[in-house]
Amino acid sequence: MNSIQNIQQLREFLTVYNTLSERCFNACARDYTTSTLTKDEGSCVSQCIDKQMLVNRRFMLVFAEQAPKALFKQGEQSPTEAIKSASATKSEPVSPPESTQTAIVEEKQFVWETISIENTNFQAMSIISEHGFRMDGRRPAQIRNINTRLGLNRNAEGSCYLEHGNTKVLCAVYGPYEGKASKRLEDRCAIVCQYSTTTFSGLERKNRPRGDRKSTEISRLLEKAFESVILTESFPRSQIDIFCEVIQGDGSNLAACVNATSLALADAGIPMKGIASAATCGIVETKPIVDLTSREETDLLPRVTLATICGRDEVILVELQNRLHIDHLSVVMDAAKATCADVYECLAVVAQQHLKACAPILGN
Amino acid sequence: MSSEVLRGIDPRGYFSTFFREGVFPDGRGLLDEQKLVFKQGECGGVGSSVVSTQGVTVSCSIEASVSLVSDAPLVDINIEPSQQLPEKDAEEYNSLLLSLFTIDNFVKRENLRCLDICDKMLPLEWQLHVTIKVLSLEGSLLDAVVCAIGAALADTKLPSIALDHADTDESVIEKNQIRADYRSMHKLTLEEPLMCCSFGIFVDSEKSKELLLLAPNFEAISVCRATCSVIVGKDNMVAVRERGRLGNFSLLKKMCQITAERRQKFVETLRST
Repeated sequence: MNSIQNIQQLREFLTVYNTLSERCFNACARDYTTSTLTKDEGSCVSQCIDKQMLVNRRFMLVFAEQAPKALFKQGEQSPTEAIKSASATKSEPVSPPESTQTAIVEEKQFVWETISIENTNFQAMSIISEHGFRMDGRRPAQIRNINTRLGLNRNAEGSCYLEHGNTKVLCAVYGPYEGKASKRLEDRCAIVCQYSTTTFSGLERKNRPRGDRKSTEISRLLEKAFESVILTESFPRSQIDIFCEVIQGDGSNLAACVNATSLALADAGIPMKGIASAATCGIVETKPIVDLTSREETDLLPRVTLATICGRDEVILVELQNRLHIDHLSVVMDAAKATCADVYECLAVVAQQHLKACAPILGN
Repeated sequence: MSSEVLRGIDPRGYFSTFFREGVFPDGRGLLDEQKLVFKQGECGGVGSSVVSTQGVTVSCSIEASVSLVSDAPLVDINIEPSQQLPEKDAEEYNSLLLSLFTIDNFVKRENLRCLDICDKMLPLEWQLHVTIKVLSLEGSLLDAVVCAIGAALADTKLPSIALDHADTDESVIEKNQIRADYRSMHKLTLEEPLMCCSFGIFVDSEKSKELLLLAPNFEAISVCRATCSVIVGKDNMVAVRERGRLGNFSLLKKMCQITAERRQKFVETLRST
């Protein structure tokens, strides 16, 4: 069985190799008077190969992302059929962005309608099935399982390992300690946060685990959020360092980081206004879906990450990805708020259990 | 004199006295808009603008260069450091503005393809280098920067490109085969301009009520419990940045509405110019 697979792999490799060689030869080899490649031919060949490899890599990534969706939709209508049936059954036209009069604008309006139907149906089909389930079998308002372990890192004052479905985050808190003079604040403590991801955390292998634009942005968001949660006035001229590392990213990474940091701060015994809980919510055809996975976090789906204190109406973080229609804002925010309250209940139980486990050590 | 003493020793009490009456210390209503002044084409480059609003004045100039078609980002933004603007904040603004370009909010990627004199698309793309200079900073920088970029892009005109390279020729395009023809210029096709408004949320301790303040200055921000910047496009909310604790969800919708109204006025003015 293995030998058959090996032969198959060798055959596939040779096919790719031969196709590539032939294409490069046809496209790049110009001078047949010498046996060696000229400078121009050499650069052409290397560009050709780079391009081919890039296309191949992209193709594999898209395939890895799309194949499960295609499998999930077995037995359902194809996107084209769905669009046709939607256009046939839809009695009321989708309202265009502006009222229009002229023929040219009417033509544009038709195109807009078609695109709109295509987008919404395709989105809805890929994210929520006709029976109302998502790709991983959850209901739209259902969160993934949360597993946590506190106090894993003995060198840190507080630490937490949190699994939010397949999103896995490790957080460590150091301090409060007398930090660098440049970062010192006279009246309160400085919060310094570093967000990083492992190179293998996502579908695409990352070159830089930290310090890229996205990581810096998330670090700043976390800093801002926890500046309003921690009682910073209790520790003037000091510093608290928070390190968050996404070991495996499967959507809602920022929300998972907020939740992990909250528990790590509680483990460190740092006084806070309450436990912060966060959730990411999106909207598909006016229906909110909560706790998104990486497959659901598409470029078209607007999503909001919201963090509140103790699940109450105290927002400490709002982050929006992609355009969100103003009319949908209250729907998404309400769903996110309710989800934050659910997540808070889970985190509060974890914190209470941890406190009970620590009671013999503390002598209470 | 007594009010100045109160301002120094109890800024919160000083501001709350005014806010309870529904005004800022300068007499402006809490949700009254401040004047936005902009001028296009004054700072060089292929497009530029100077914007002044809410005590902030910024200039934005756009330089363009030609590159081969690739997946690389076509826009880079540089907010020049100044004494008033901390480096960390400048990086944050840079990152936010770049993300707005990445998701095609200001200009779509396909509209940055080079065109020849007959409006035919060439296998070349324009790369835009946006430089922001902060001239004065007494309020929210983001509000002015977003308007400045929108105005500068609306002012941008790019030359036609003459490419001396056959379509069927698969060899690499050389630098000397590309020539800019400034006799015919193309206006950049833009997406709808964006508008950003910054708000402060002040909590009146006596009435325990949250008050929304439009475009507070730095002094007023220091007594606010939270600040929030909202960026909106046509009917859509594009980005939001919040700092502090926001207690009332309905305020966010109100912020969006105010920003959308202001955006409409800005768009109309931009069209008329």
